[in-house]
Amino acid sequence: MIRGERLRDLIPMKPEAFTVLLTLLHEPGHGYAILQAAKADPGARGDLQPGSLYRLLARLLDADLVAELPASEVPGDADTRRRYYRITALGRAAVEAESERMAALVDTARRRLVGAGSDL
Amino acid sequence: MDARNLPVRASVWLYRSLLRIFPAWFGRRFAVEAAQVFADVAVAAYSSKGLLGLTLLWGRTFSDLARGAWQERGTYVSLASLGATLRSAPRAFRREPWFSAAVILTIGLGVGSATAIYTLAHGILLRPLPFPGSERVLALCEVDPQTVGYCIASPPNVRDLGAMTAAVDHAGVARTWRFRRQDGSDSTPMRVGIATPGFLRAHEPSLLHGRLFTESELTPGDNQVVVLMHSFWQEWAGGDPGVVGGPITLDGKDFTIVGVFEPDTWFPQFEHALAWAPITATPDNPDQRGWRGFVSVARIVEGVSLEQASAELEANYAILAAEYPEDLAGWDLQVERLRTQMTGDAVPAIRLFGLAVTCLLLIGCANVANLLIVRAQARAPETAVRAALGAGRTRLAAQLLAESLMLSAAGGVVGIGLAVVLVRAGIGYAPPGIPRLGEVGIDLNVAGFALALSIVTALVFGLVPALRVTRTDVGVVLRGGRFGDADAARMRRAILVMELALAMTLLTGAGLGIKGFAGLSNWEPGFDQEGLVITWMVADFSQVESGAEMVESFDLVAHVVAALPGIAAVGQTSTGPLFGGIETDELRIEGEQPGGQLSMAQHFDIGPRYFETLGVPMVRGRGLSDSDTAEGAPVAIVNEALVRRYWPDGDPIGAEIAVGEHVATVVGIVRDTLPFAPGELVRPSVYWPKRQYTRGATYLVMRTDLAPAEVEKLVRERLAAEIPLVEVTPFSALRDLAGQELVSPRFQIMLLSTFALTALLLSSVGVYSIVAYSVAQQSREIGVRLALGAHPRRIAGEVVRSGVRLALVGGAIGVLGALALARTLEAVLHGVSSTDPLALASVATLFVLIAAIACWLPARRAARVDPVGALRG
Repeated sequence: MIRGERLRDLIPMKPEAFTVLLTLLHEPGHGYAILQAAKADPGARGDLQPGSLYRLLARLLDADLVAELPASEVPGDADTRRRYYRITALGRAAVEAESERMAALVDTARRRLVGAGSDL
Repeated sequence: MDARNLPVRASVWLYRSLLRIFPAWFGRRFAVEAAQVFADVAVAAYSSKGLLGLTLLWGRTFSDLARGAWQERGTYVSLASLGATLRSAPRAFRREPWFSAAVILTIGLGVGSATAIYTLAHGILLRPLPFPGSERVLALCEVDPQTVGYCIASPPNVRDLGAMTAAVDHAGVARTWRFRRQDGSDSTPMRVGIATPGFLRAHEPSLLHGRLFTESELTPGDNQVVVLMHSFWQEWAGGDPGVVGGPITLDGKDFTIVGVFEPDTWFPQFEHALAWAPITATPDNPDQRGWRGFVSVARIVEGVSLEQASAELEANYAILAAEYPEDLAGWDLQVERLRTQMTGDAVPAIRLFGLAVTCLLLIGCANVANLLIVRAQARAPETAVRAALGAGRTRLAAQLLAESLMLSAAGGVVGIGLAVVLVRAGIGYAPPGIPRLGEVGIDLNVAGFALALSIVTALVFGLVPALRVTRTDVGVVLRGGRFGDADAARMRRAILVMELALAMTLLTGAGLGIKGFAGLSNWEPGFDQEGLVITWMVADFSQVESGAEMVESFDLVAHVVAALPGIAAVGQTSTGPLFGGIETDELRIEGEQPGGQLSMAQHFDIGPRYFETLGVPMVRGRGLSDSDTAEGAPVAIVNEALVRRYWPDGDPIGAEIAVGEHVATVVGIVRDTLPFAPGELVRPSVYWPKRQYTRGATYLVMRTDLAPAEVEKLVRERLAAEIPLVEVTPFSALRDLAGQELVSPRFQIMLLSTFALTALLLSSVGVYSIVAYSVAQQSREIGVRLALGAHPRRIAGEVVRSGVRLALVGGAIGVLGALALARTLEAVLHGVSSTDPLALASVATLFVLIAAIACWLPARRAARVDPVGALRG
């Protein structure tokens, strides 16, 4: 269960890292596209700046959650001057695990809030 | 990215440089990519919000980079060392107080004066329209080839356009009307705006009491309602809310006051209207498609663009044109923002001030850059030693960064403070009549730009030269103590030449402006302006039966006034130089084939002895006489300009001419009257006897030694006693009218001169500091030469020459710069030739003189160098 152990190390995830992984779930993207998508994410906290983005990408690349797309796989109509990043299988698993953790947390919170008399 | 994106390119360059504070592994892996993404973000910020967007982006970016460097380099930059860095910044200030003060003051002066002057120019020249959503208010202008330059519209056309166009919600027309107001037995003329409700609503006015009048109140019978302007309500009713619902008597009819506007309500172009009444409240019938004597506005529905709205309006106008060809053939609809229409003239001036601001800021930055380079030179040994002893480049950079930021922040604070003071002072000097001038606030865009520019300058020139030192072998630096001297000196000189060139450009602009202003104030119209007093006469329409009777009463007034003591001569005219505006119509010469180029002429209707009163001589033929009556043959007098244009070789006397519908025989030629703006051409003009071309009102022109107020008192007394049906407006001297025309140009010239003098001051400080520094550096060499017998005067001469040489190079480039700006200058400074050799020569002389003085101070010091002391030190 190497993967399981590694996942445990990765969870809980920094919110910014989670946001970046979410933007890559459906398709690979380059730096600017990730920034734009992250900005559009309703749960995003503030603006992600290029400096922070690349420091984050460095961590995600090192942790194998994200991989650089080989030049041969870059979509034909894409801007070839840019580097594209895709989410790895481990990254996808980490997003799932993090979502489950958060969902469980939210469930607990809701139950207790109801118990405390809130409308939620 | 083209040159317009210079701020973006500079930002990207700076970002790439700043990324070096991240660890090396980061740079190798991501520097290029991160800079690329930053470039994308910067382009987006710049294109959506301009420099403000870029400034905001830099605010976020600085904190992002600082946090990133902090986290990545946690092992190098410990909390303690950051504290030390921050503490060392003020210490550096204490260690080099003069240097720090010079940098702070230079930044402060540059940021402050640039912000203040641009704010004033913008606030005053662009006269913002102070009502809610004024950006959405459009001016609708019906134009045909002969009415170019006027914005007019007819009420039915605007009513139909408003109804047909979904992109505008309120549309309407207005004009002014002079009512007579009766208060008991008193009767006073009163200027009232007459409008459709749509016109008022388009301005979204707020009411203090009551309501606006409605569409249904345009119907005759219901239309005797009026809304009062706040100032009139205060003056007339003492601010009594009880008058709302009560009557006011205008032209003998009782109008009901239905509302009072809020104090700050403002209708552009109708500043003099004291109240507003329905458009149908006068005897005229406004329901005529061909009558375009109205101002028209419309308000765009929220969320619709100007382009959409104008496209829709123009398409609908074409539909109207097809429906009513007899009234609309040849006419087009022109749509623009009301703001653009009202401030279009000021745009070149604003552009000029924008350029001047940039010049001034660059000069300030150049000084800061030079100061910082000099400081880096002086500190090179210290820096090299610290680097050799193991201080990381990051640590050094962090310290320099902190110092530079502190200096530019302090400069920025000084600058904003200065700007606030200068704007207050400038408002005091502004020409009168500018609405809401007191609310002009600091232009944040310019302030942000100025501040960003000075921060960038401080960062780049504070950091780069110092970091270069750390890369050099410490031995070289310590042994010679003169690391990179040649390079740095060349850089300083290049920067100095650039700032001198910019200062020269500004000075040339100001010099030409002053000369143009002198041209304006030396108006020589061809007659003596002194002792001419003017008033505007209107006859009470309800008391005169016919036009002839009206002219008769005016002639009677002229006759009575001429007999008053102290009045030398009296004439009448429909318009004149500096008063009454210009009336122009199509000119046809009988016997010539129509269809040629459209000829236009100004036309005036005048009373007998008008030219004699002004003192304009007849060139040929006869003037007007008392025998030129309505029964006599129609006659006309033309000016020399008209003769030059249409009879270059022939004789106009006896020829038949028609202006508009009026046909007359030319009987005389009068000397040209030169227009107020120098360089403007004299327009072809035609003068008729007032008795043959009846008008409802006229100017009375009097030549007298008395003051306007004295004449006014005399005339009013006589009129009240003898001719009460003629009303006169306040009297003014032609000299004062000319003075009023000069107020606005004088203010612009004052601003421009302030710019140029600040630039001259800053750049002479620059010259001084560079020359003084090089003298200080060469003191050992100078000492040797003096010891070997060189004459002190020769040494001083060399120093001055070296500085003046730089000034000459900079000045020459500056003149070229000014020539390149020629067209902008000419558009703003009417009648000024931007290549005026006299103005250029005097500016250049002043410039070189100032530079020489700036060099002379250090030169004197050089000549007094003590050879022994210099050699020992």
